[in-house]
Amino acid sequence: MARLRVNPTRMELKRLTARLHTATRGHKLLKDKTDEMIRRFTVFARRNKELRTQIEKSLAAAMKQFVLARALTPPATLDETLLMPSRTVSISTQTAAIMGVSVPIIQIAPSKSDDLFPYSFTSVTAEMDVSIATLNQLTEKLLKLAEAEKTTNMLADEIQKNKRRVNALEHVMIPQLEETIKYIRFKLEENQRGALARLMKVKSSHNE
Amino acid sequence: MYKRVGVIGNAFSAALFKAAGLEVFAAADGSAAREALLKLEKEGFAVVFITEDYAQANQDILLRLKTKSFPAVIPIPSANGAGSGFGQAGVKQDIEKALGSDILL
Repeated sequence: MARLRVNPTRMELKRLTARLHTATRGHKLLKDKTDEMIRRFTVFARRNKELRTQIEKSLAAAMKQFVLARALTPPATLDETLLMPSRTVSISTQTAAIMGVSVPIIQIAPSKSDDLFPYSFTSVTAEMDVSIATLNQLTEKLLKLAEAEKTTNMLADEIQKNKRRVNALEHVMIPQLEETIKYIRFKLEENQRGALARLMKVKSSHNE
Repeated sequence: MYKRVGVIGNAFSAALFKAAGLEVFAAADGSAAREALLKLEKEGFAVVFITEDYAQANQDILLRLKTKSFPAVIPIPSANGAGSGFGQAGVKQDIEKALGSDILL
């Protein structure tokens, strides 16, 4: 590992020792942070995967029913029935900090209308009812999925960044500092020995 | 501030989600979906559900938005009902990014 280009002086040695101390401490802290983030990440990633599997299954079922409904209903009637939805989904959002990452929290507000179907039952087929009922149940889950997936995304990104920092400290900065400190120490000792030898030489030549 | 939920999909998916009370934006193809996605980002949507086929066509935007708190862009199965696996692949990618390999699930 290449050492830093610094003057081998005591002052520099003191400065580098302080830096090494900070780097070692920082490395430990960042490593602990990564461990904790990974622990939290696994929880969210599991939830994300579970929700996604469930939702994809239910959504596929709802879509299938909707396809049937569409096939059985004239397009104009279908458009008309779906033109004005009876309920709207309203949400409120906040952010929460997980290990310094601000992740979203999504809360679904209860719908003002209890009426699920925006049409009269005489105009469309039963398949439409099923698909819309399924989708209404799914809405909350979909928003939960959004929350979990976003958290997973952001944590994954932060974990990756953190790992890079840890690696940079562990494999570049700390070895570099250690090497430089060692070099300065040797150099100072060498100077000291040189000075001592010179003194002895001067003394012996003085005595002659 | 972020209070809206949008869905981007083809006319078929859009009709279904509209009935469920979400704000829908029907797009005819990938580039129309791209425009819609950028618009929703600008308008401050909290969550955008986008069908997998359109998500696949706009991966660059999805990747950019991944690190932002809002909007959460979530791929959902396309209108034909079957998931193409794009959403699941996204989860796998995240796990690999964080842990190095998909050993979790």
